[in-house]
Amino acid sequence: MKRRSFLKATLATGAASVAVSAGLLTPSTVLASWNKEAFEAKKVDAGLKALLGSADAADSADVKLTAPAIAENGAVTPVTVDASGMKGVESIVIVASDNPTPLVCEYKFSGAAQGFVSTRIRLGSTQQVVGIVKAGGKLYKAQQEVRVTIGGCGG
Amino acid sequence: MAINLRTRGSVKGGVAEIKSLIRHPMESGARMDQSTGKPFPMKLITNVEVVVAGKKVVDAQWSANVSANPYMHVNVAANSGDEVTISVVDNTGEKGSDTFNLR
Repeated sequence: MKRRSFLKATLATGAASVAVSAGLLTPSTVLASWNKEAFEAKKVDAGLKALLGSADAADSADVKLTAPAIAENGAVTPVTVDASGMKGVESIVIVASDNPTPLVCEYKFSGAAQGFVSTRIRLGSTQQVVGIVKAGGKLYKAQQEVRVTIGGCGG
Repeated sequence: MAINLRTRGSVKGGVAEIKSLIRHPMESGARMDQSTGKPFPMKLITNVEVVVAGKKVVDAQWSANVSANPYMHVNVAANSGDEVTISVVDNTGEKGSDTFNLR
């Protein structure tokens, strides 16, 4: 191991152990459960039911989904879901409707967090990207088609 | 080795924009290695947490549809000087975390 990476590794583990001893990272929270059933579901509805208990989302103008109309590289598609205008946002789920396992990610918010998330996702082909927001126990959504043109000229 | 994170956050008008870049392959377990004909083993960040001023504010679960070397941006109402900790864990149990104070 090179000296530089060795130092980096020791520093990183050192910081982590300090955080653990300070009670910031309790092991139970770091080892939080992963909803395998939802994230390995092959159908959007089944995945959403496993994750949120329902798949009935109403279109809402308060959910703002930002994604490129044409993605030249589907492997890194920037997607932003902004629901900071809504009250009581509990979670945001991003769905890539035609991917083999459509559910991308779930963000649960509490306390001071705002209903906003921006990330980069993989898209296998041209498809609808859906942002689903759970607020006040109800589901709202916004969606947009993203054209994936791998190796193409963007036409 | 711990998972390498780079995080940054600054407060504007009472809202902190917390952005992180994580170095991780996000391997789904389905991609084939052409040279051996076997799939690359699954290696996937499954859980991400953001703690601001001692309170957990964001709890995320990710799938293989999140790009390799993931980028995440969340907004949290906070004051400058608040301590932020972002921690991640992958399916192999490897962990990473980063702690810093908001500017």
